[in-house]
Amino acid sequence: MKSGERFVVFNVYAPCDSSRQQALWNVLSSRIEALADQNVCVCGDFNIVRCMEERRSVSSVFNQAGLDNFNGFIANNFLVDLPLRGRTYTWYRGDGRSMSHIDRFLLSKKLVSDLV
Amino acid sequence: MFDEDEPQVDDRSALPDDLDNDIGGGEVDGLLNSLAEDWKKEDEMCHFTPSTVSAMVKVTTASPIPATSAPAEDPSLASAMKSKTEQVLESACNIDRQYKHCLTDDKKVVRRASSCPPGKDSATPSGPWSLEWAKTHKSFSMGSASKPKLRVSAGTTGVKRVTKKKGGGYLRHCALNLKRIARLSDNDRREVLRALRRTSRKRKAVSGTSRAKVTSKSGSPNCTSQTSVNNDWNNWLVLHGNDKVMSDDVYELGRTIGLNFNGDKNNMFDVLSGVGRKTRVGGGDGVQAESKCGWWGGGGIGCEFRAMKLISWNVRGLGGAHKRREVSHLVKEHKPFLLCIQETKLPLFDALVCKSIWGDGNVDYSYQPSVGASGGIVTLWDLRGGGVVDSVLGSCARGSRSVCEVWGTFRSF
Repeated sequence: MKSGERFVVFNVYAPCDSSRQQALWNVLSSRIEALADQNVCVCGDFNIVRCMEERRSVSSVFNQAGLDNFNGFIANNFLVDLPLRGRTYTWYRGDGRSMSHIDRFLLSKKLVSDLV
Repeated sequence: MFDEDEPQVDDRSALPDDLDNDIGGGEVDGLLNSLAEDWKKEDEMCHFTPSTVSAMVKVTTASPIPATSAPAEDPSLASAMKSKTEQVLESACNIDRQYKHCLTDDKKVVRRASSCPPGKDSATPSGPWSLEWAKTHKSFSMGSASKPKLRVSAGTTGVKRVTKKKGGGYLRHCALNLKRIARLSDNDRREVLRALRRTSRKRKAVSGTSRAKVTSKSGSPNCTSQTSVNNDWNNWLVLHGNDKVMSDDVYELGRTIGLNFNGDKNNMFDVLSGVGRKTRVGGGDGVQAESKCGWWGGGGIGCEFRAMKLISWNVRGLGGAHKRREVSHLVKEHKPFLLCIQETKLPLFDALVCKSIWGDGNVDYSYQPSVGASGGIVTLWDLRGGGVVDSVLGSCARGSRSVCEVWGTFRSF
C-alpha cells in the first residue's frame, strides 16, 4: 500500500423500519459506488440481520423484505461481512428473551485484500 | 424469646409440601405435622420454655426418621444453640458477611457433624429443623433468590408474619435444593457451596441469569459453523490446490476470525479466494470481529487489522456517567484508532465529553445529534493515527443523520 491512500469509514445507525432502511441503503450504495475500488469500511448498528439464524426471539415475526434488502445492499456493493468471533449475537433485549446479530463490520474488497 | 423461635418457625414455613416425594417417606409428613402442631402451640403461647424444647425434641426423636434427615436437637445443645441463634439474628442485617462466614468456615461442617446423633456419620445432613440447617438455608436463599431484603425483613419482624409466608415459592426450592446438597459428602458439598458462591458473585456483577445462559449457548453455533466452513475450505482447496502458500494463509485467516458465516455469508470466502490470486492474504494480522458486549444488554464489536483497531458500539445512551466510564474503559483497554458510537441519545456532544471518553486530548470527533431521545451517532478518532492509519482528514453526515462518514489516509506499508 502506498502512503496517502485514502480510506473511508461509515459509522451507521440504521433506522428500524424497512422503508427508511431501504432509503439508507440507497444513499450508502450511491456513496460506495462513487468510492469504487477504494478502502471502505461500513460499520455500526444495522438494525437488521442477514439470515434467520442471526436472530432469536420469542415472537415469530420476521422481516423478510428488510432482510433481503440488506443482503442485496451487501451483495451489490461487494462488501465483505466480517464474521463475528466470540459470540453469536451482539444485541440482547433487557430480559434476555430476544437477541440478534445486528452490529457488524462490512469491508470493501479492496480493504480486505490490502489489509487483511 | 422471638430470637429463639424464629429460625425454627422459619424452617417450618420453608418446608415444602411435596418434600416426601423427594426423600420417599410418608413418615416425614407425620413428623412435620406433629412438629407443626407443636410450633403452632408455641406461636399461640408466644412463649418459649425449656419444656417446649424437650417436648419438641421428643417428637423429633420418637418419630421414625429416614436416613436422609437427622434429628438435630439435643437438650444439651440448647444453650449453645441459643447463642448461635442470636448470632444469626444479629447478623441478619449483614447477610453478606454471614453468608461468607457460613460458606468458608470449615468449623461449621464439624459442628454439623457433632449435632448428629452418634449413630450417624458426618455425611448425614442435619434435619431441616436444626439450627445449622437454618443457617445454611439462610445463606443459600440469599445466594439463589438474590432477594436479601425480603429475608432480612422476615428475620427482623415478628414470628407471626413469618408464618404467613408458608408455602412461599422460592423458599420451597431452596429447601429441596438444600436437601440435595446436604445429602452429598463433605468434599462434594464444599464444592457445591463454592460453586454457589461463585454464582452469587457473578450475579452481583451480571444482573439477571438469562444473559449468562446466552453466553454459554453462543459457543455451540460457532463450533458447527466452523466445521461447515472448514468443509468449504476443503472444497476450495481441491479447486485451487496449486497455490499452497496463499491457501495456507487463507486457512489461517479463517481460523483466526472464528468463522461464523452461514449460507450466503460465504461471500467472505469468495472474496478471499478471488483476492488471493493477486496478493498475499493474511500474514500474521488476522481480522478480528470480537464482541465486547456489556452486561446491560448493549453490545460493542471491534475489528482489527494491521494494528488498526476499530470499535463500533451501540451504547444505548451516553448521557449517564456510568456509561461514559464504561466507554472510556473500553478505549483505555483497546486503544482503538476509531470509535463509532451509535444511539448516544445526546442532542449535543462537545469536546469535553469527547476528551473524557478518550482519556486525552489527541482526539477529534464528529457527531450527529439525537432526534429527541432517540438516535444520535458519534465517531471519535485518534489524531495521531494508529497502525497503518496516517490521519483522518474529515467527516460528514449522510442519509438523514443515520450515517457519519469519516475519511483519512493510510501510511505506506
